[in-house]
Amino acid sequence: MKDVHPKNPENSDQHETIKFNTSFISPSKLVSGPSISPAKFPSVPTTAVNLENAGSINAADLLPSQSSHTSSTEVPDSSHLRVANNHSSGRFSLASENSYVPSIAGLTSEDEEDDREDNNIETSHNEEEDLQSILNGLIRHENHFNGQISHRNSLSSPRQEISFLDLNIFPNSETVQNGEEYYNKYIRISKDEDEAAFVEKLKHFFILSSAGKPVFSMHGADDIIMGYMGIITTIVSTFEENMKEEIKSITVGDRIKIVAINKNPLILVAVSQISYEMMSFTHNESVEEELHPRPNSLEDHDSDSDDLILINQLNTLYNYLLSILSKPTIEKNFHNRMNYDLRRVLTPLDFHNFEALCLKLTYGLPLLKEGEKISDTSSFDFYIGELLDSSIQSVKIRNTTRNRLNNIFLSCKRIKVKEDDLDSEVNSDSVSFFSKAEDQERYLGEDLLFSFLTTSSNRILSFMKPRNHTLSNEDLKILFSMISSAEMQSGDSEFTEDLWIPLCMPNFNPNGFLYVFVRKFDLSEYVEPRPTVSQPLSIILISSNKNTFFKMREISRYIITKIVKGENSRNNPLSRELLESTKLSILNDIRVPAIKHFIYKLKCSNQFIMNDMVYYNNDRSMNTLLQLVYFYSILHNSKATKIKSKLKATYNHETGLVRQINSSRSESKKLTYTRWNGAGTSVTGFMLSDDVYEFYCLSNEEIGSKDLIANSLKIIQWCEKYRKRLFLGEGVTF
Amino acid sequence: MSAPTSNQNPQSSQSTNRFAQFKLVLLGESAVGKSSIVHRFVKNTFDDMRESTIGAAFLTQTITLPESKTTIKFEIWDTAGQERYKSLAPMYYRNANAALCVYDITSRSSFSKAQDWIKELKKQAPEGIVIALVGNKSDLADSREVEESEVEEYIQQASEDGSSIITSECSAKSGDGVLEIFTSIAKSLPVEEAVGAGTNRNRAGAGNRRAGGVDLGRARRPEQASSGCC
Amino acid sequence: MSGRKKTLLKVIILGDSGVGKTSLMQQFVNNKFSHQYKATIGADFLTKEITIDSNKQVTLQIWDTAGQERFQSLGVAFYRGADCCVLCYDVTNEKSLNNLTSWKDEFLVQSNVSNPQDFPFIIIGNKIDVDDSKKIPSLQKKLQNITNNQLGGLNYPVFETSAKDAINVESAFEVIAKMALQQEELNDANGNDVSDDYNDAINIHLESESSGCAC
Repeated sequence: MKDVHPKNPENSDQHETIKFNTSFISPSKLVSGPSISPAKFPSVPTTAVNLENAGSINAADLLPSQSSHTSSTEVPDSSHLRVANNHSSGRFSLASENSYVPSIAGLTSEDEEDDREDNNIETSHNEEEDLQSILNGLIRHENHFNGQISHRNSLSSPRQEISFLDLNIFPNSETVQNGEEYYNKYIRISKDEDEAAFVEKLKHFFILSSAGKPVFSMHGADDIIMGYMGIITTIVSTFEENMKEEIKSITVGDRIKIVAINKNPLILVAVSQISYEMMSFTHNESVEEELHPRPNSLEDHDSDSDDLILINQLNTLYNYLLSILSKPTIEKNFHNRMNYDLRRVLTPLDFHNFEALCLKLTYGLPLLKEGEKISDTSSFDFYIGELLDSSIQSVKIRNTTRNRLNNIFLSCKRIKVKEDDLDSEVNSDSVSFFSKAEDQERYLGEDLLFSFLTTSSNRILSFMKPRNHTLSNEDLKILFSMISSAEMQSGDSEFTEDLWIPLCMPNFNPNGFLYVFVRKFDLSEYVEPRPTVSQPLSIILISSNKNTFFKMREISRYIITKIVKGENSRNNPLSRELLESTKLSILNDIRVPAIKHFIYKLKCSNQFIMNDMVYYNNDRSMNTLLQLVYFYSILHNSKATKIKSKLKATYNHETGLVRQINSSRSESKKLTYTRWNGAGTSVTGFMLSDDVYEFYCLSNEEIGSKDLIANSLKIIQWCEKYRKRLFLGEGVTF
Repeated sequence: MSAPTSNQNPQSSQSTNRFAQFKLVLLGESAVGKSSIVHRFVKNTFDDMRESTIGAAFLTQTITLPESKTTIKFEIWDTAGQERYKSLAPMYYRNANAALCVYDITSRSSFSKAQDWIKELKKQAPEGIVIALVGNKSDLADSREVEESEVEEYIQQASEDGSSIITSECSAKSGDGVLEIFTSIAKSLPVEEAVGAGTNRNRAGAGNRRAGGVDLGRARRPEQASSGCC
Repeated sequence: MSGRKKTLLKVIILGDSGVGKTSLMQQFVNNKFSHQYKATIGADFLTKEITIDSNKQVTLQIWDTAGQERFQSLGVAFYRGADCCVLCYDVTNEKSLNNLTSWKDEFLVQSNVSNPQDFPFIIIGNKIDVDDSKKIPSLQKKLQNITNNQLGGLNYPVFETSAKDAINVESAFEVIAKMALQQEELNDANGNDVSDDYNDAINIHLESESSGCAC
């Protein structure tokens, strides 16, 4: 079967290798593998290591002969780590961002309690040298950049604006004039009846019933997709019926990949022509794997890392369906009749949400209306989170603040009320009569299962959970996406509309629903003088009982009161603290010239922080966004160089300390260095990881390896020092 | 603190010394305009781009009945009309004092659905619940599919059991008739009773509960059983 | 996708190869969106929108399946979830008429419909425009025999068409669509498609020791 892809049959003349990936056939050895197309720039992006020669490099081998090489650990004095005050290098002053106040408050030693909880890093100051040597060695190994590395190009030479088209991130760049045209032709979601245009889109998603009835298609009018649904069904079934195999994926050369997952009675298919999605990518074996296995994806793919990226995307779409319908409902409807049309229970908002998911899963782009500009980058945050194995983004707040919030949540579980104290939701169906007792009291929050306090961009400030239950990051993403989508419907207004949403959390329990209460309030209303910019926070209370809306509502009022008035007479209100501490502007606090953008992920908690995209190129344009997506995808998905070093980082969960200890067996340290060069411009990407963290950064200036390493380590150390402020722990449990 | 229940109602500037509170629920097919009606009433806004409601939303709004110098506070459940949420409806109308069954005058099927809701309410909802049959999108009268005469006819039949149903048309888009619906409903509600009960229970300015307090001295009522247990 | 959903019907076209299904369909549907892969994967997929009862819009997803042996095993996949079925024969070919019964049986077996008695079928006799001499002798009688006896006596509607005359084809599809819609409404009345059970994901009280529950 040659022409299995619904593309123009003209291409069938090309002699391309078509690879079928099925569940019982071992992957064919004739895989040509996706190749990263060279940038349009004169030189080729260098990875630190040639894929074939990926091996571990012994640090010792590359070290220039060193006289004394001590491995003693030294505790650097605090001055070494104290951050600079209010320093802005030329590159970082941003006219556009008024709301970004360099937040120094949390970083000085005023609050002793905070400081005590911050970490002292024990590290070897030779680590830097080691890494540098490795990096230099690798760069020399590649024989590039003669003379370019040693000096830093100053800020004086004008940088050329790079367009994502120039980077050849996507195919067919030469067919259009500019980025906007490219976007409209190949990326933007279109429901037109023009089949030629449909076929050219870079990415497709299809959801259909196993009978071939469409549930959702990313692009195309109904008329167009009907036929494709039939074809997909036929192909999937052909493998099943004729070969007793389950088709997993089909790869055509390095051009196109089609991945299918069977979620009987549904089939989900992704078709992609995007190089960074077709990369083979293995999970980083690490602590994180044990702590946060991804059940769905592991079950589906065995060891097929080739398809993992697209499979994960399909699972995300499937989980959305589960979250609104639940598994038994889907199965029951089709069990009753195979010709069931699932679209009957879907709303226009669901389709909107699907489309938004498709775009952010693929490109990190938001769903925009015609001519609309990007105003918020939550879709980019989402993409990065998915890239980092379903990681969630955290927000920095002071430890004391977080502790106080945690305690407020905990106290919710202790509120006692008499039944008739409430705006009665006496459920006449299930009234039970207790035989006695004058003072029967109930706990207001007895059905409260999970609670969150989040910022408007869905970053968690504080949360509470039961001892024996957790919501996985995947479930959290669904939760927050749904809440954002519901809030969007109420428009922006000063009024609060309390929401009550039945939601199935697939990883928690795909067979039943939880009930989500959401109340938004504006912190700035409670601070004098009133700030000009609003600071909305959301209280999210998840109940196990559908009849408890009013109880949840009561609890939310309690929480707000506690926050704005203080928990007791001794405490100051939290509102001001919250207002100030949630602003994150790391790069204003540390001086790391030339590193424009970075991501730091803490593996054990599967959370990450990154700075605002605007720091990279002074804008939040689609052009910039697509580039960042591309660079980070390459950095993450490329096979890294393992570093055998004498030092191993270990993380002590109880004390929260990171220690470097002597170990001959450490294999977890990895490094990737990539550079794209072009006329007058270059972009450097760097990845460093070990058991504890993954770190990525980008620079669009000339940066030498010395600075790259030094500045990266600076950021890493800053993150480690403030780990408790930056990352959520286990939350508070009851 | 809950958001101030601001009044768009010009009548609210009058002072009142009587206060009553009622629960109200909106039911009806998806896309007839339930949320739009509520938003017009509560926020005095209309958004063309709004899509569907997920689950349900709860809002409050207060109006004044100048004749009786009473302030009426509505606690409103705006429910999702999509079929898949149908089984959750009892949760919302179970304790409601009034229900708006909304249809779209340009959609016959939505009118039929509204009638189904009325039937269900009569069977399952609290006795005496005030029912309003509301035809939205009166601004699209050119594409009308449901004639007012049909509605009249239906109401006559439906009232044969002694119940009375308020009918009205409105346009959430233009605002026409929206406030009037709520005012009519308010007038049909047992205001006196509610005012009386409210005074007894000291419910003036309801919503200012002592957060987190244990309240003593209340007559005990049968307790709510935990779901699924025993 | 807009709010008001159009009904979507999966229509299976069955019949011996050579009865002219393909040219019949070509006349009927919007060619722009037709995919012809019958020889390769065993079916062509066509799509057509029609209006029933002047206000109901229906999209027909037409699966024009090949008769060949080698695609026999795909029957399950093709027929699964069909809303209605069109049985085609060639009025000049008696064998194709006689085979209607096996096509129907094959379909019912493979598609596993829950109520075979109620499943919407129609019969289309193609190539009606030929010379009477070429037609099956005593066609009407034989046809009646088939519909009354062989096909379970269920009296399926019969249409005679020719590739040149698309009009009758259109009415045939209107009829089958109507039948399918009616069936759909009956199914609806019988069983809810909604999640009438919003199962609770967890009963927190069963989990805590202090529930004080005797169960």
